[in-house]
Amino acid sequence: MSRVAVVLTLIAIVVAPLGVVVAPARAQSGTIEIWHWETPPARVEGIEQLFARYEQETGVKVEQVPINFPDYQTKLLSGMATGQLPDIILINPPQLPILMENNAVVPVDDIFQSLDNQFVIPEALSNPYKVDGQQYAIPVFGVYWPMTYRADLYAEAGLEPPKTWDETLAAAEALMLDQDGDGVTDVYGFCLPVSSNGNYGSQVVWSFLRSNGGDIVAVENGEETVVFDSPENIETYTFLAQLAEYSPPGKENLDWGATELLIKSGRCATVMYNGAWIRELAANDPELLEKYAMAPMPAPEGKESRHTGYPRAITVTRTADIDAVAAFLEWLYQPENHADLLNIEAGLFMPVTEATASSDAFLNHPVVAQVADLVTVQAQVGSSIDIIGFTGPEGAPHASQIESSFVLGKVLQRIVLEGESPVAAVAWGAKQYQDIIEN
Amino acid sequence: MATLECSSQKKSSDLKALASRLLSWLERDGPLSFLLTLPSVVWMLGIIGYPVGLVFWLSLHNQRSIEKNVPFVGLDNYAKILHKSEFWESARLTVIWSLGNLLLIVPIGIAIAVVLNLQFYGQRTVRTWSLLPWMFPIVVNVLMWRWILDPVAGVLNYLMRQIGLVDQPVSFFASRETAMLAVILVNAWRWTPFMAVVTLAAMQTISGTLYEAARVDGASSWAIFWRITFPLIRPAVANTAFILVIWLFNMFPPIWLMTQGGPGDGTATLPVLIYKQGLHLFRMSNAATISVLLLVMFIVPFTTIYLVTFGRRKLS
Amino acid sequence: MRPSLGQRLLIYAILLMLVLVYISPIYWTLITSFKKLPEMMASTPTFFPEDATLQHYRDVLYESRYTTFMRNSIVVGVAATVLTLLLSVGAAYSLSRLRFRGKTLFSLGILLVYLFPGILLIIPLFRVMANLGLYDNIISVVLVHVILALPFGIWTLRSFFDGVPVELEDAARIDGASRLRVLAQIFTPLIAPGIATVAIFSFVVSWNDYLFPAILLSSPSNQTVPVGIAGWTSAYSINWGQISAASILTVVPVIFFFGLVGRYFVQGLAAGAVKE
Repeated sequence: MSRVAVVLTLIAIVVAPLGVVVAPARAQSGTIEIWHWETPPARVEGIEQLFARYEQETGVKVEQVPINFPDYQTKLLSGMATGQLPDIILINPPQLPILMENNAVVPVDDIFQSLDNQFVIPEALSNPYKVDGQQYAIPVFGVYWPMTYRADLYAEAGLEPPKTWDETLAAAEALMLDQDGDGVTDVYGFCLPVSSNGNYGSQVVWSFLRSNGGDIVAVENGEETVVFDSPENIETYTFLAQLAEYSPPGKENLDWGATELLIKSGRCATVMYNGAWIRELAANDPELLEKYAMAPMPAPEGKESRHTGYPRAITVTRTADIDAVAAFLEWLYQPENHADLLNIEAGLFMPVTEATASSDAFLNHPVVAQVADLVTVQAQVGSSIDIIGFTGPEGAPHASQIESSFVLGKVLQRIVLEGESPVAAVAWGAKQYQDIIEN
Repeated sequence: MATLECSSQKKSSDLKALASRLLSWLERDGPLSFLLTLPSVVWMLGIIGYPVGLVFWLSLHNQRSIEKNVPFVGLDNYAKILHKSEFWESARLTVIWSLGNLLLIVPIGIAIAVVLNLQFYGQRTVRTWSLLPWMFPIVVNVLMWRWILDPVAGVLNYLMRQIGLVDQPVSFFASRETAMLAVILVNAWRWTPFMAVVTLAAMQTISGTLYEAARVDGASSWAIFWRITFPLIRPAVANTAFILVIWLFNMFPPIWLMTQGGPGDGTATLPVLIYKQGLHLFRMSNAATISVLLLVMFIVPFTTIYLVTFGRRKLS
Repeated sequence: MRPSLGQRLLIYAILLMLVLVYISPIYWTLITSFKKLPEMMASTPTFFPEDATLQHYRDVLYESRYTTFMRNSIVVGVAATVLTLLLSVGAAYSLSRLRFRGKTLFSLGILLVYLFPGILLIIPLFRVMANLGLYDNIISVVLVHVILALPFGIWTLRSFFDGVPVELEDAARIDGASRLRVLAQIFTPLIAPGIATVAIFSFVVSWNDYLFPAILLSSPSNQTVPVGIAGWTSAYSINWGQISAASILTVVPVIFFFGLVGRYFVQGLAAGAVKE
């Protein structure tokens, strides 16, 4: 008998914890569930507090599910396959075609109109989410990628921040610094990723490529044509291969995390990056923070600089309670609440409504006030952003696959790491893109 | 009341009879073994059998992401994949990866076992703890090494500069060859102790009198190892190496966590390719087709060859 | 064998080198977990933290989801271990003591499971679990982890069952004990070392697995330790101090546990492997 008891106890031990874990998995109705990929602990915590305030004021619970960015698309697809989607999904423009193709989200023209009338959302930010005259997503904050540089080192070397590509090369060469004289470079002229292990390597190539007037696909009436194999793009890659010489060893693995680490330890004289490192540096090393400045990305002589950037946006799923979501968004976009959302990662999340951009709640946040110059540059850059697959009036149906294939980074890797000629590597890239749109 | 009691008594006695019938039924080999093996069988069919069927099904259909009503395409997927240079390159890398690991793990593992089989102070402790690196989570193992190999602040680069091997920091992941070498070395670091412990166990089953007899005959240590030790440990070593190769063909986490298949696709073995096709690009049918090819081109032939040469008794 | 002094010196030299190769990475991780960022990133590294801090440990334990990962890992590991034991004791007993139809097929099946590539399963398992509504639910990982350890469990326990003399069982049967009772009361204590080996093996396999939680779970609140820590390097900022601290925290229980039972485990593992 005692053996039976032992077995039963064992089974109870197995089943009990499973029950604990399984029970809270489903959110109860009447709550709004949101998926996003702002996973750093501080951001999750900040969002939690903001939503708690909404619940206090209205009694409506808003629940967040932070998902690692690399898993985001997987989660979206499996959610659609099983019909288990939240009410709100945060996306960048490339994710929209996938959601629409599977009929997962609904147009939000009414909500958008109401918010736009009250707070003014610039068309440049909302247009990528407009399909056939209908608005499918509402921008909620912007993330922009200007050039970041060590102003102190530039000043010491008597250099101006580069505006052209030639100046960029010259500055990068001059700012390879061995500060402690041990024969090893401590500061690198330009931290250029030559990587394809994450989005960063392709994001940087994208900005240079666009500044030179190049593109990946052209879209007309829903038909995509690969335009990657162009003289402009070959020229861009030739330039980037030269610039890569002033990038630190390990450039082939530079993703967001590794690059932020280099920035936070002051080892990049110049780098293209967003403001994600600002809040933490303000808290841990304000002295180093003071040394950084931002400027628009350099462009070839006589061309206009373009930037990587995303108006991150809110989509509403088919199963959502539209009225509840509308009420929540109405509250969220009130400048004082909206500013609190942006300031969760102060210095990175940029306003997308004129009301919030000029509100005291946003501008008076200690970090935003401390790095006012950096915020100004980022906001300015926000008006010259390009999104992969969304450079024309029509979005590319395969935008998400094109972006997440990281072919832009892979082409640079072929040139820099394997010595392939830019002409051949770009032709290879065009073939990869052709494969993607044909499938 | 009385009838009620009676019926409940009857019921309980019925129940008792049923239970004892059940128990006596379970005294027989057939039913008892059915009861005891059924859960394992169901489990294996559910987690392996059905999914494997699904892989074959997917490889014959064209599933691009999650759409319903997937069209049947016969062997088109196979034709498509077999025509891609990407696939053959990845297959080549799978061979290099498996062979490289095997050639490090097995000889070094045996050598370590030989040393541990000698008598020295602290022998017991060392033998026990030698399995520790294998018990570390792969993630911890890989991240530890990634930090050591870090080109900007890693300690290995510093040491290499100190002894004059290089004068500027180098990155081990900048070229396909060094990246592959680094991944293989890190993985071998983890698996060599496992090989050593198994070999050591086999060595300890060898009776001491054999050695003494050989020594009396004046055989050298070298000859003793090759004439006595090695033939006797060969079955255990062969079995372990066999399982190891199968695992190596399929190993995904160490490569993924070190390089994600980079630089370029220089460390993208077939498992990495499957993962990328399936869970990054969501080409379910492509991923399934490559899985079947991995099975048919690598695992099945290798297992067959092994069973024919070494392990016939294994199945009995 | 009695080695000469020279030979003994050589042995110790080789051992020392081995210990260095295996200990120094662990030591490096340990000291990194106490370093502050500037010291960690300096181009001339320090071999003992000059300005030690416990900040990383505080961050890991209080500011990150590490404790959640840990809880999930433990729940998955314990559940998988108990289920593996229940299944493998029954199956191994049947293989060792009972005659039944399909026995050869069954043992062949076990071998095939052992040889089956996990990577081949990820696509279909992902779909199956999504259709069952178990995607992003740790039950799905438990279901798979049982399979990872089951073949080893059945094989190891079978050889332990084989080692129990038939007379013992017969004596108990004459006393009128049922077979199940004999299995539970006579066999279980006799094969305890085998059960311990299988338990450790299945727990370690589950505890260390990266592949299946990475595919079958997605929200951070459901994640296990290996995937959780790995996520820290692919996210927005990489903090080697925190990663090192978390690695140490993950490894300490393993070392402690191993110190207690490692000897038996190595013996059991070796016994299983040699007999195969």
